[in-house]
Amino acid sequence: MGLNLRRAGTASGVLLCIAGLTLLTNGNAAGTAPTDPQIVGIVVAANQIDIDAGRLAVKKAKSQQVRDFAQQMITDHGALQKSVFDLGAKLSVKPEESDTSRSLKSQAEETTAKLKGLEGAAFDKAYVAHEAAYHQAVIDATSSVLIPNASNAELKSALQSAAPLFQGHLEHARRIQSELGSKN
Amino acid sequence: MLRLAAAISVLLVKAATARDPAPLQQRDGKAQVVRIENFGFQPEILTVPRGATVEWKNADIVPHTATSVDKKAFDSGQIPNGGSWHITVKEPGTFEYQCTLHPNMKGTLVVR
Repeated sequence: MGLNLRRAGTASGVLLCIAGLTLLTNGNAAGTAPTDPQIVGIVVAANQIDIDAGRLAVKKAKSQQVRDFAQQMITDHGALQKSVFDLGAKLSVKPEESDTSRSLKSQAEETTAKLKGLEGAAFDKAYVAHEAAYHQAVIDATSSVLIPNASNAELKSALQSAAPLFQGHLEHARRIQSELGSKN
Repeated sequence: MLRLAAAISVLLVKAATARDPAPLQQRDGKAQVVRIENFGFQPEILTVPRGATVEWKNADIVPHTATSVDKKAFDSGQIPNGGSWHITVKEPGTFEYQCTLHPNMKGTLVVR
């Protein structure tokens, strides 16, 4: 985690969303455990942030490899988003906003603004670094806060099932990050 | 004596079959299945006899591929979620494969 954040920081400085997820883990430590509707709301927000970042990258990225990765984020997180909404409807759990989901969204807006200001290879590096750090933060938040606090067994199981997706995206982003770095 | 030998050999074949379900499945014409689930191949390593049919069933929420690393031995193309794809393996060997969409998803098909 620390290594990823350093890499991301040196490459881009766009770590605001990650700060939001860190806030989530800290918030839990302070005793503000999210409810099931809030957990669903956080997952929905986190998913949408990554879909939106992917849409931006599909338009702006210079490298085909990065554009393909971005498209994969849109596809995978779009599918995950649908499954979250389907599960929420099945369990009658309506996504609920929380300080964490609001914080994630506002910080994502700032991240997007910074990414929009970058072009070419600089954008590619910043976007991929952000994706690596963001997925690491999502993995940490999911395992340390969301899963332990989910009271509905099916919701807990769904969160556990999503972990390999996040891990896969993290490894994919790291691989691209390494390849982009080696081109310099 | 010949009958006894034949009876013993039949028993031996049955015993071998019971210990190793793969040939039995193959004899019954059923494909051996690799399940794609939670962004992974299950089992990760599958060993089959030459001539077997191997089927990849995508039980995940997104499309995946089963593509040999050399991209020559086999390539499923995109298997939609809920879909499947199969091949009949003719050549022996060890084939490492991955999902081209999610390169961290890796599997190995061993054909004997």
